[in-house]
Amino acid sequence: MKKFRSICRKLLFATATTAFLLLTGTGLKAQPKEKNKPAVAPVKSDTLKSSVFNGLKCRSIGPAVASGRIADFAVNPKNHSEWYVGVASGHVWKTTNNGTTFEPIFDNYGSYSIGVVVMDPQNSSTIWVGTGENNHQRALGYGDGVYKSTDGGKTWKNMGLKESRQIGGIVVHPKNSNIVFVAAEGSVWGPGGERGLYKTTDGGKTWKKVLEISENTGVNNVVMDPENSDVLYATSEQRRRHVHTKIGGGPESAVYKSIDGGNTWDKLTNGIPTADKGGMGIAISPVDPNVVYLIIEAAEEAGGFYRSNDKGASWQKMGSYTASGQYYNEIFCDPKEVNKVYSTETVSQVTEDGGKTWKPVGNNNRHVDDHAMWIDPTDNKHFMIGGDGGIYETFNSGKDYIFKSNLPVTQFYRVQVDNSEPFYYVYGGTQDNNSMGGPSRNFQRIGVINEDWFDTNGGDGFFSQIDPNDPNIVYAESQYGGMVRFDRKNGSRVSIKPQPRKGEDTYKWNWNTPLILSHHLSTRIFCAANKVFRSDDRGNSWQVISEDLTAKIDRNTWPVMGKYWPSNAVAKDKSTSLYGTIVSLEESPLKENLLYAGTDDGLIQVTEDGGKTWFKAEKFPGIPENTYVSDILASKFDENVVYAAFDNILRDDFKPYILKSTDKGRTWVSLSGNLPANGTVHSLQQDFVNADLLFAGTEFGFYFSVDGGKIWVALKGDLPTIPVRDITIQKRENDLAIATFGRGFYILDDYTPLRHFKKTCSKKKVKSSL
Amino acid sequence: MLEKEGQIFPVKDGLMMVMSGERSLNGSMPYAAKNPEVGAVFTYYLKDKLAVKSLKEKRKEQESDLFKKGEKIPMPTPEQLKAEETEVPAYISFTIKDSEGNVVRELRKKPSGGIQRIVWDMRYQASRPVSSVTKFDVLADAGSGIAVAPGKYNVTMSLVTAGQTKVLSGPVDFVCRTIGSSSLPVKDNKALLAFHKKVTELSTAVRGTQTYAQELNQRALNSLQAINALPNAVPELSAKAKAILKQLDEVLNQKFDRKSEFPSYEENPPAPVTINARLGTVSSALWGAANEPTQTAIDGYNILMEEFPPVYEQVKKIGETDLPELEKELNRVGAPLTPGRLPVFKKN
Repeated sequence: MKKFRSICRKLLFATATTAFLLLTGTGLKAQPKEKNKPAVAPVKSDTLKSSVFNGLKCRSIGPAVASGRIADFAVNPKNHSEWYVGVASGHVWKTTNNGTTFEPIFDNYGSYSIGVVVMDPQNSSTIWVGTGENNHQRALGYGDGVYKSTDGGKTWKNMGLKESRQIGGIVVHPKNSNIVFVAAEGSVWGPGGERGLYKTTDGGKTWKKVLEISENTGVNNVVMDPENSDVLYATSEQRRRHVHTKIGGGPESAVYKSIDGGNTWDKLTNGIPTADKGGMGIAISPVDPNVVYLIIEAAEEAGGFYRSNDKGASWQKMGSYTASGQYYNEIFCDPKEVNKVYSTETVSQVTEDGGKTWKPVGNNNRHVDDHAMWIDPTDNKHFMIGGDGGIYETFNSGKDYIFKSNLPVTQFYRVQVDNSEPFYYVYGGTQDNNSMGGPSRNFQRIGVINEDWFDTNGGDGFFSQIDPNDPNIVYAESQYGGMVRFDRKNGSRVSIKPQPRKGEDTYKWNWNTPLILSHHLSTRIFCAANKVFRSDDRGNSWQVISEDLTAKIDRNTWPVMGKYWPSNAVAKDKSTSLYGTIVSLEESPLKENLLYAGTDDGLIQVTEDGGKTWFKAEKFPGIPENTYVSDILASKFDENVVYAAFDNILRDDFKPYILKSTDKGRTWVSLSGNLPANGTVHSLQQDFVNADLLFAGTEFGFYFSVDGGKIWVALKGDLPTIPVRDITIQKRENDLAIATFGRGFYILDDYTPLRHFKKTCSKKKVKSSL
Repeated sequence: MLEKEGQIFPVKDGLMMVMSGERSLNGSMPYAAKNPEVGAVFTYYLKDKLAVKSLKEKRKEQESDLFKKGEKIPMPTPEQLKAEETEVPAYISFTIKDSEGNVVRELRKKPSGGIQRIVWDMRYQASRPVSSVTKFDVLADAGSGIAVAPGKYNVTMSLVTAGQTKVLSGPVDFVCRTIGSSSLPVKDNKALLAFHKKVTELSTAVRGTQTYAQELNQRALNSLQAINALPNAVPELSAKAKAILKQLDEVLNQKFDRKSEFPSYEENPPAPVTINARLGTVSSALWGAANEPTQTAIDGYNILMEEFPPVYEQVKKIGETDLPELEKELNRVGAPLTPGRLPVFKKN
């Protein structure tokens, strides 16, 4: 044992040295004597510190070809080439050359999800960031309050409102930089927290809630009158999203105005529909601040586009045009024409008559689904528009666009690798940017470029699988189980989604449908809706190998925000999966007919006979009932061992939940160990050589354990704070491929050093530093 | 060559391939050079000014001639003008046949002289419903349907004037072949084509039946309203109209389609599969002709062949028996007119 520990020590030291060499960039040129004088603190041999492993760098392979969801722009009014972009699920980036290059400037703070970026009107070096993207779609990240930088984005300080989850808007007083308003939406997944309109008069040191609605309803917009900073408008938004249901609006959504600098607020009602409202957008015309525009989603078809010519005292419905409140309803006034307003949405619209008629802004070679806009105040034909497919800039009012093809912020749900020679390919499906594949590396000095990537399926994407014996046969999904078999040889696709048999009702497919490839037969794939399907012929035909495996709970069982909502509640259950679907699927690599299925309503079903009979596990220690099963991992070494991860984000619970069973799912113990309390577990993986080497992807990072899950260590090397939604292993190269939800794919080249850290290294004294 | 009225030059192989839509969202800046058009390219020569003058052109020439000569110009009769108006202009026809002599596609063009090219996309002629025609157009393209199988084809170029067809050139043989080898090659192209044809036929029947049922529904609704306009209530007729409407509602809104309030069809709770939903999944296979149909698609077709015929018969009965009988009754009781119903008229 002693000898073994000594080996461990050496290895730890070697790794630390490697880390040092990599960090300092001296590499092979390092002189031998430097080995004894590392610049980093010496590593105690018996401590598994995260910093020890910083030398194992995760390598981003992008791509930037599809970019990702843009939330907000902040452009320096005195220098339009300098701007900041808030990425909904990919941090904040800065450019000083109008997007020729971008620098990520917010990679290692408490949030990856951004709602708002605002520049102090008096000082272009002071930037405020509201974390947590401000919508309530299904693929939604949350934040930890507001951040402020006073050095042009070099460093950031959290200024509080940490429990606000989503920030809808920030207004910095144009004459007094210490006065700032923050519209805190509050969690969409539960009540309470910091929710409402907050004001600081000391630059963010302290906050006062100046507009409070309720524990369920926060404020999603705040705007200030450009000619009178005592006049402000705000909108509140009542909404809730859980796994089982979605309520898009309610009676607490309203429009407010203050005329005393935000200290007191009145509800505006004159001309505003009384029906329950969902997400609203409000904007003041910079041309004539008497004119205020409002876009309203409402029940009973009362929604529409509204205009006030008297600073909100009365409102006129200009027409019934509105967009989806849960994802859009953001409007932007033209800087020169008072009647011209833009509405960013699926196909963004523009009106030139104050909202009576609308026409598309233009999607010539441009992605749909927009959220952000900046219009050049000196030339209103020139604007930037940001959406689910990145940033586009036009100089001719949206006729043609320049795409910023250098922002690698794609949200990947899943990752898989093939066995291509000489370099393996990496595949995955994205939020709203297709499924795609590309090489893990190439022969070009510049590295892996956008042109290396190709689409395998359209729409949103999730699982991809590749025939291990034929890298040309690729399976790729789109939303709700839309799956194709893609032929990399000739680019053809054939739809292989299972279809109901004669007399059978339609299936319940989750947005993110599991699709796995068998370890035992390379032409066999499995997928699942509310039932499990198996195909032995590459998806040509399917067998239904289970009945509905879910808990079969009526989605209207539980009260939401203390009430039971009628069918005509605002956008009720729209843009959400049906409840009662299978969301994770696993096949034992050791025993052919041993399968596991995890459901969105908290069950793990186990079959040992290929689906003839199923054992239902429904109680899990320490895990609330009906919690979404985010991942199941069958051991590669012991057929009785299985791991599972649970995701309870949509009930406002961010705890990590990892369980292990040594009896095929009959009993379970927690393996969450020392994982941070805030960090839902999305994915699990196990080394194929060392059974104790486990990997976990969480809402904020990537972890490994060398002792079978007792102690987890964060592997941070060049990986930003970002959800790790999936992890896979390329066995030939011993590489780990990681799917991040907002920063594309990362590869940890040759992770074999981690195999050498046996659990004997981390005995009693071990205190892992995360 | 130049003496000939027309000539098709030898045709290069038509290359059948899958085109991808990569980089369609990268703005207008990326440079992309154009590919040649995909298909079988027919290069042909036509003599300048083929003898294809229209009646109107002929008359105008004659008039101009007489005017120059200072002679009397006959005024066109209304019949002449009508004939000019309804005259079908001459056109060039390219008729493509398979190796068994079946016509698979006809392309038409206005005749004009010189060397020109026309591309056939290697697809069958579509059979889309025709409606709301305001003016007959002999050159209107029927559109493309399913892909043909790889193999030998030939093309004949003809001049069609006043219903007379004159072959100018051809048949010229050529080959359509797949390029870009497939990982799972089609084993039986004939079977693939046969399946595509079957699905196309079914699709045409389904679409036609649905449209027909929608028209029946409108007629039945008109009838119900017309019965309601009678000064003396005729409850048994109202009941008949309502019964027909109920049947059609079930056919249209349960069997063919189901209304969805949700952004995605998959957000609707489990329910029986509609005919159009299943047909959609089956016929989506038709455009990716590089692959054999999946068993799922074949099963879907077979299910439709069981589930659609009863619906077809039901619609047929309503259209050919129930509704005409109701409309007869409407005439009998003197209900207000509805479209499609010939009023009762008796000579005194």
